[in-house]
Amino acid sequence: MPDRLEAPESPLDLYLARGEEVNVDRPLLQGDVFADIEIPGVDDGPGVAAILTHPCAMRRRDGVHLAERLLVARVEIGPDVPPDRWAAGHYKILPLPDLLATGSENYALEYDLCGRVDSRLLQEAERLACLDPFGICLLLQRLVHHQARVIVPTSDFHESCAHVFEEADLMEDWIGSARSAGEDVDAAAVELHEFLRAPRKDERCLQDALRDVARRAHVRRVVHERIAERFGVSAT
Amino acid sequence: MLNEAANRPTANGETATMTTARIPVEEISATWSSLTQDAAGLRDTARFLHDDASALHRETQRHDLSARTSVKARESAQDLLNELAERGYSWRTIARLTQVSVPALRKWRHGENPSGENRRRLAELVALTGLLEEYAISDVPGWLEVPIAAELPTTCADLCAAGRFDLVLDFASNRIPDPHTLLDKFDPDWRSKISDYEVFTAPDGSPAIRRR
Repeated sequence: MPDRLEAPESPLDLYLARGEEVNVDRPLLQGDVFADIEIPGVDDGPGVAAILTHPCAMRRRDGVHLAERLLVARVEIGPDVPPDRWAAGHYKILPLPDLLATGSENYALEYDLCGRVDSRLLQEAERLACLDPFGICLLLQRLVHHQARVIVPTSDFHESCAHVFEEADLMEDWIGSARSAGEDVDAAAVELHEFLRAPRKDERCLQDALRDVARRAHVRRVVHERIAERFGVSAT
Repeated sequence: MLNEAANRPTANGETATMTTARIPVEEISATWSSLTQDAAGLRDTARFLHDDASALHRETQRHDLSARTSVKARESAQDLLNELAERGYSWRTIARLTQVSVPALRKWRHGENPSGENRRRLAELVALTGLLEEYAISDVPGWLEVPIAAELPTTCADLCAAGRFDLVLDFASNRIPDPHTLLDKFDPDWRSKISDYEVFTAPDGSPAIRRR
C-alpha cells in the first residue's frame, strides 16, 4: 500500500496548460489558477488564486452553470521543492513550480489561505493555468493530508473524478466547435449537457456511461460524431 | 529421443521397465537416471527454443510496427489526429502516448506542423492501433484505458507510455494470457502498490472513496 505523498516527475506533469496555452473554451475546474482575485477572509488584496472546490461540487444541479461561490486558495511565490522533497514536508502547500512558464518563478497554493469567491469574478478573470488531472489529484491528496493526515493514492482520486475530467474535455471540444461555427457558446454548453443526459435507446445516458472506464471511448466517438453533424466541423 | 515404446505396458500389463525388475536395482536407477537426464535436456532445449522464438517474434513485431509506422507517417498530422479521434482516443491519452502536451496537439489540429519525430510518434500510435485491431480488439482506446487487473489502476496505456509495446502486443495476442503475469513482467513490485482504498457509489449517486 503506497504510504507516501506523491510528486510529479517533472513540473510539466502538473499542468494541462499555462499562459497562452490556456483554452478559453475549457470549463472552469478545480486547480484553475487566476490573476487578480480578492479572497474574502484572506484580506490581502487582489492576487493569484486557484479553485479548491471539488470537481463534483463546482456546478449547480443543471451541471452547466457554476455554483454561486467557489472555494478559492491564495497562490503565492513559493519555495523550490524538488520532487523527492514533496513527501517529506511542505504539507500546507501544493508546490506549483514554474507556474507561469517563465522558467524562473516557483509558486505555491496555500491551503490555509482560502475563502469563498463569487464565481462570476472567476469567469471574468484572466486564467493563468489549468492543472492536469494528475495535478488536480495531487492537489486533492495534499489537501486531504493537510486536513486529516491521511494519504489516499492519487489513482483513487482520479478514479472517482475521471468522469468529470472527461466531461470537461468533451465540453472543451464542443464549445470550441460551436464558437468556430459562430454559435452562442452558453447555449451550446446547455445543449451538450442535454445531449449527454438524454435517454438513449438500448443503453444508459452518455453522462452515466462516462462513469464506466470501458465506455468512455464510445462516448467520445458519439459526441465527436454529434459535433460533426451539429456544427459541420470535426472536433479536431 | 526417449524410447516411448519401451515404456508402454505389454499385454500382461508389464512395462519394459517392469520386466527389468529382475535385474539389479543399481541398473534400474541408472535407467531412470538416464531418462531423467534426457527429459531434462529436452526441457532445456524447449525452453531455449521458446526464448529464442520469443525474442525473434518480438524483433519481427518491432520491425512490423516500424514498417506500418513509416507508411502511416506519410499522412498529415491532422489526418492522423482525425483517425485517432474517430476511434475514440482522448486528447490527453494521445498526448501522453506521443509524449507531447495537449496544447501542442491543439496547434496541430489547427494546422501547425509537428516535428518529423512527433509526426512519427502519432503515426506509430495509429499503426499500433491497427495492429491491436488485428488481434480482434474492436475498441482499442477503450481496451487500453481499462485497468489490467482489478487490484491496480495500471492500464495497457501505461505500458505503452513506458515504451512496452511488446508486452501490450503479447497480452493482446494472448501470448501473455494472465493479467498478473503481465503486471509481473512490467513491474515485479506491483503488489506493494495496491491501494487500501476503493471507489464506491455514495448514497447521493456520486463516486466516493472509502477504505477497503
